[in-house]
Amino acid sequence: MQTVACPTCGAEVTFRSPALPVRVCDYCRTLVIRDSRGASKMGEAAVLPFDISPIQIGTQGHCFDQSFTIIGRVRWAWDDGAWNEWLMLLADGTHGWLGEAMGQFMVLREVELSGSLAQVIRRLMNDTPVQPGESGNIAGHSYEVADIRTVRCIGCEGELPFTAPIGWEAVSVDFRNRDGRCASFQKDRLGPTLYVGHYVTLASLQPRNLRLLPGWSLPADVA
Amino acid sequence: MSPEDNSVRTLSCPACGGTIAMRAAGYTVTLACEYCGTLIDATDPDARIITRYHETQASLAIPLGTRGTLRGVEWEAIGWLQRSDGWAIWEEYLLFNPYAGYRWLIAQNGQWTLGMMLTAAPQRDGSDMIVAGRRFSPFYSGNTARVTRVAGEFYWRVKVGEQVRASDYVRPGFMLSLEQDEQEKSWTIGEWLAPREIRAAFDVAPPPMWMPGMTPLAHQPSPYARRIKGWWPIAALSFLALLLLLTLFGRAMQPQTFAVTAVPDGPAVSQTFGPIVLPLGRQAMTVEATTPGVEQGWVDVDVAFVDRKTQDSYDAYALNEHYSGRDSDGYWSEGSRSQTLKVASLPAGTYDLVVDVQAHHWGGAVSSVWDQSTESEKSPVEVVLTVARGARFASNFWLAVLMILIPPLLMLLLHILFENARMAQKDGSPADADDWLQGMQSP
Amino acid sequence: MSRSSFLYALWCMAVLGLYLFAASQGYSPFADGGRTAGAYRAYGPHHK
Repeated sequence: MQTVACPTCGAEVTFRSPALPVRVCDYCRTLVIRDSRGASKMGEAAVLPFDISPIQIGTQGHCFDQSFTIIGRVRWAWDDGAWNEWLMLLADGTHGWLGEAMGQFMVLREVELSGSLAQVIRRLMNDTPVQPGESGNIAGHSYEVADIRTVRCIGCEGELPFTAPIGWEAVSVDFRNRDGRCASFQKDRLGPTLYVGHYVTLASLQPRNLRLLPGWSLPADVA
Repeated sequence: MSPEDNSVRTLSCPACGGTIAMRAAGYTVTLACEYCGTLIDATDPDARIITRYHETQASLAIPLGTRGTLRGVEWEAIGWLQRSDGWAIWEEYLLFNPYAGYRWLIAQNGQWTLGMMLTAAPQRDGSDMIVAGRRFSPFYSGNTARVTRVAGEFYWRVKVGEQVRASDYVRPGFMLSLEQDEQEKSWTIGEWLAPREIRAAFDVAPPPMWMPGMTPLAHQPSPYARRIKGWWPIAALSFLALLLLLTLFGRAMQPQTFAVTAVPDGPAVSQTFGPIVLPLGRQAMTVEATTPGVEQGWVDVDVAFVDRKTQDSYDAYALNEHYSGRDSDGYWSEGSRSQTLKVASLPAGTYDLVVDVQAHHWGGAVSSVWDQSTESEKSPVEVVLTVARGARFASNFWLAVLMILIPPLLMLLLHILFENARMAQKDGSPADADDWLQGMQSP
Repeated sequence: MSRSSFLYALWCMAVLGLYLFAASQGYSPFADGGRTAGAYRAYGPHHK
């Protein structure tokens, strides 16, 4: 844990994870970057629109055989909708993403883009367009392209594993598989990344410290 | 993060000014005003109008914003669609709970189905689909479902007229639906809700009970299959109990034997035997009348139990006959030399048995090696009567078995009518034995 | 046990009860003679 002073407003900014470089100041929304010199600022993060996600920074749970804490969030939007990706800090110090869209949850972890890769991944890395329904083998399982979208980051909070520039755009390709696994390929101006994971139900994460929403009580299986 | 005191955001409809609630902020993409039907882009901070309508919306069976508890989870109805595939029209309610996600309530023909989107595609096995080890058979295919009306919030850009290609697979009580367009395909599994369950959750009109002439939904479970399965052990047990009772009751006891002789074509003979004591309040009597010597003729035996005290008479009669001869096929014979009479329900008392016998012999007409009448044409015929207390009525047993079987047979008939009407809507190959067997499975 | 199974069991018990009652009275609607068959015939003595 490391605490620095926000370069803009001076408030305490805490980094819970050992390695992540960026954090949004809770008070003035400055993007604070920590480096060898301390902390510097890098612009301001957009205000996140109101939503009724049950997840919040500080929510804890269990996945990938470990416990995790939610430490950050990025909200992505495309032409026909938006979704949240919550940053999970796992017990072993690595991180993953909890994606939340249309009331469904998925957990994903980054995998290395090396070794033998499926044709469809290679084509995506070369900016060759792909079609929904195309299949490929990722990390030992067969997936089908579910959708291809151009997405924009419309807000973020908490700690982030990248220097998230404002107006950050990427091409995002979702893959789905018949066993409930999923994969996600993203390419932005910094390069390609590949994430692999699976769908989960909120209850299966054994969540604690969920956001309390006025007018709603926690259902029995997540209480 | 500033504390919110309400999960619901309200906005004014840019077209009609009505107050609309947005209940799934962050997920909702399109909002349809429930007053005027105008579609609003919820992702645009200015709540831009997508399509303007002027129609007034009909009142919904579940008004938007209503909450109900299904399977232990509280749901809020936030969206409503009406869809049509050219054959049928149905409605779909979008249910929301921020901790549980989305579900669908599909209303068709007054019946309700709870739908959930799958996150993993089902396995294909031939023409069937398998989800969680349960087999679904194809029912509808090649249909196009079109949205005809919209109200409330949705997590995609819904609009009137949008179409998907739809196929459905069923098992009793469940429907597996595939919907696809150019961009994506989604699988949804729907569970038929019993009237009690849907009415406990949402105050809707009672789903109509099926009657012959109505068409059940493709996945509606037969209420008769359930009953047949529950009833047949009771029927089997009752049958065994009846068998037991049949053997326990009705043994003929204390036989007494009497004999009467009559001359064929002679005068009628009447004889009285007794006393016959009947001790029980009521009992049946078995009278066996045997005429071993009758040949080429008949013997009419009238018996009457006459109560010595009241002179009440309880009658029965037997007709014993025997004929035989020879023809091109060989020896033939017909008739019965012995009859068993069962007289029912005689009250207690001391009785006389009054027997009237008349015999007839068809003499001389048939010449036969076996014809003993050539010896002494009109030899007397002896009637031996064995009277016993008690009678075993097999007819009672079969009547009781029939009565026991009537309700399950009625259920079977109704089940056949139900399944016939249900499977008549099936696309593709007509219903076969497998479909009938599947219809008998429990949901 | 469901309600319909319970009612059917009651029905079967009623049928069994009816059978038992008929057996105790030595009664049958299909008897050759006695109280039922030929009840339409004249009662009373037709003999001395």
